[in-house]
This record gives sequence, C-alpha cells and structure tokens, in this order.
Amino acid sequence: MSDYGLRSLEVTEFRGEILWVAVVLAAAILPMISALTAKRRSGNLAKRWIICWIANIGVFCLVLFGFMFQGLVDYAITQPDPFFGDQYSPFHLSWWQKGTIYLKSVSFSTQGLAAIVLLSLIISWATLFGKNRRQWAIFGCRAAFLAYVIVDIVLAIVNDSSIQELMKNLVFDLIGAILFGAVASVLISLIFGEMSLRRRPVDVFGKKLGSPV
Amino acid sequence: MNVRDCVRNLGDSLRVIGEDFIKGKTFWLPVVLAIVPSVLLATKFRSNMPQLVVAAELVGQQYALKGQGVQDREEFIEGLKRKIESVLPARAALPFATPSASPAREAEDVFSDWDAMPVAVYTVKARVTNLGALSTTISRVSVRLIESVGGRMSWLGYADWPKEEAKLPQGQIAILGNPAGQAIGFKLFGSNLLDFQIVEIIGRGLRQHLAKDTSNRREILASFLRVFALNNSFRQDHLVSIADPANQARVFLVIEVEDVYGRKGLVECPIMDYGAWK
Repeated sequence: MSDYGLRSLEVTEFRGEILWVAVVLAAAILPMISALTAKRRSGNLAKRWIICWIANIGVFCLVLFGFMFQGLVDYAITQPDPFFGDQYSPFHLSWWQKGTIYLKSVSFSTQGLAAIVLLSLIISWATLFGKNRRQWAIFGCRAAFLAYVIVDIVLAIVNDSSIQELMKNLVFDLIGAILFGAVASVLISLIFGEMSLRRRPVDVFGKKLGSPV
Repeated sequence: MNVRDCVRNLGDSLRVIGEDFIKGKTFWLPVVLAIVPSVLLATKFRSNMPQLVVAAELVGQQYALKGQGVQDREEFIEGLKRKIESVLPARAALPFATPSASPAREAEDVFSDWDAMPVAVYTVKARVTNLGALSTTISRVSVRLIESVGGRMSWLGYADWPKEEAKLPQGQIAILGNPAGQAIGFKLFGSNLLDFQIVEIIGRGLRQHLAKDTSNRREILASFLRVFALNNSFRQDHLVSIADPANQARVFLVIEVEDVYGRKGLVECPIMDYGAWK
C-alpha cells in the first residue's frame, strides 16, 4: 500500500495506458458479475448493477483513503525529505507540518490512480460475492489483504525496497485489510439497504441463527 | 439506522473478522505460507537489480570573494586571512574608539554582504559501479553542497552535472565526467560557507598560537567570532555554532547518481569539518 512505490512505475518505463485498458475492462465486467451474483431480492438486474456500482465507488473511496493514510504516515514519520527522499533535507518540519503539507498537496500519478482503481475494482468484486454482512466483512478482509500484499511484494521488487520497509508495509496491509473489511461490510450493508432490517446476531459459526442479516 | 447501530455493526464485523483468522484456517494458513517464500523471492530479485555504488574524491577547491576572480583554496585563504586581520583589530578596539572614529567600512562590507562569497568551484573525480546482476544506464547526476551544524542540514548550493547517459553493464565501473576531475560551480547566496572559512582560519590560528594546555580555547574562539561579527547577532550565533565541537559542523558535497530504473546511489564528499578547528 505504499504510494511512494507507485511513483516508480513511471520511471521504470511502465506503459500506463495498458493499466488503464485493464481498468476499463475490469470496470465493464466486474460490477456486472457482482450484479449477476447479488441477491435477487435487491431488485432487478439493472437496479442491482447500479447498487453494485455505488458499492464499487464506496470501496474505491475506502481503498484510496487507505493509500492516503499510509502515504501520510510514511511522509510524516519515515520520509525525511519530501522531494529527494534522502536524509539531506533542507526543511526542518515537524511531523504535524509534514502531514498538513501532504494532505494539502496529495495527488497520485495517473498510473498510481489507475492501479488504485483496478485494485479497488478487484477487491470490490471479491467482497460483493458475499451475501450478508458477515460474508462481506470476511471476503472484504481476505480480498483486501491478498491484493495489498501482492501489490506490495511486486513494488518491493520494482522499487528495491528494504526488507524492513516490506515488513512495515505488510503490517499496514494486515491492519488496513481488517479495517477495510469491517468498514466495507457496514458500507455495503447500507448501500444494499440491509441495515434497515432488524439487527440479527452475526452468524459466526456458519449456523442458521434466524433469517439472513 | 443511527450512528450507534453503525458502530455496533462495525464492532460485530470486526469480531467476525477476528474469528475468521481462527476459523478460516483453510484460507489464512496457505496465504501466510505463501507470503514467506514470496518475501524471500522478492529479496532475491532485489539483489539482482542494479545497485549503484558511487565513489568520489575532491581534487580541487576554488573560491571567489565579491568583486574578485576565482582563486585556489590556499591563495583564497591567504587573502581572507589578511582581510580578517584588517577588520578584527578595529572591531576589538571599538570600546576605546572616539565617537567620530569609523571602522574600516570597506573591509566590513566584504564580510557582511549577502553575496560576500558568491562562487565556489569544486573539482571532483567520481565513478559509479553497478553491483547488480542487470545492466543499467545512468540517467542523471546531481550535486548538492550541504552544511550540517548540530545535525541540521542546509543546502548551500545545487548543481547539475554535465549530462551523463553512460551504459553500465553488471559489475562495471563508469567514470563520471572528466576523468581528471569534473569542475562543478556553485552560485552561493548568503555567507554560510564563508563563515566556515572564517571559523577555520581563526580556529587554526588560535590552535597554533595558544598554549596546548589552554582549557578554554573554545570560549576564546567564540569570543573572537563574536567580536568579528559585532553588528550581526544572527551571524554571531552561526559562527559560534560552527565553532562548537559539540555541533560537529561540516560542509560536504552529496553526489547523487540515478539510473533509468529510478534507483539512486549517493556519496558524501567532505570539504570542511570541525576537526580542523576543534
């Protein structure tokens, strides 16, 4: 989940257009699959497709927030020089000042944004295979963790990251995936209107504890 | 649906996820087992990638005071010594001067102007080695002139090296710029680098002329520097902080080489440090 890493996709002569083609294909296919596999009780196919798109946008916002959060932490604490990335910083800023500057100037490269969109589409697709809040939480957490870990390992190779940095990113991935699963399940429940139902006990052990949540 | 319900549902979801780590062994165990070799594989890949190791040696230093031509360091230091010698007695005699007497204005301006020392030229022999198992090409070389006082870095100048696009096969060494030494010119603003020269000249002089067992040489040096920058308290603080050995003040060049993969190699090239006057 390192946004600093996404930058280097540019310098390694990566062709960003290919990534955008993948994004367009994924955006055309994955929400449609989600709509087809969603519960029919949510409405007809068109309505389900719109709901799935809204869920995709919600998931994208969560994933983007995760990248921004990690970028903020990296920038404020571990990144000594905002421009050159080494220890010879001419700026003597506190972590709070650095964080403020980061949030005011946050921007992702075109390729970086494409990678985040693609990642969020895949995570969202996997999450929406769930049929209730419990499954959304579990599938969301698993999908997010797998996606983040794969991206971080690839970026560690491309960026020549140290093992310590990779470990730090894996810890961020785990925490980020847990939080993503929890928040995404509540968000998708709201989008599908499931929360308006009476609250049921969460079916942790796979047993039927009444009607589906 | 209110905020309370949302928070309660969030807590439920967190609990479900927590329990999934225990109940969902069929998923998590293979994932964890796959991550370990993947990390090791990433490390192996990483070691194959081009790794740039830069080495540099400073072979010449030239400076110019305002209105003068560029001089070699020895010549420049001699000239600067004479100027300090002409200014310092007048400032030390200030308490005894009659109100009408004016200090040597011309000499004072040489030291107090913002562009008192506008140019520094360093000649550097530099080379870069590719320690990785893949070939690469150098895309950019840059040089920064940096002062460090008490761990705080300030940039005194920045210069681009003449364009380098050297191919660098694995294990090969590329000479950067002129093999006899590449001259890098810095346009300087402010008197920070000049302050280092002043501290070095006065500090060395005191070390030569004071008895070796003088315990308060540091305080004496600070007093001289305060007298020297009599009319400028900021300058006094800067000079004294450079002179204080606890601050480990130094000036150095940082040569940074970047390849087409965005990998960087850095080297520090010392120019002056507190060892010369402590």
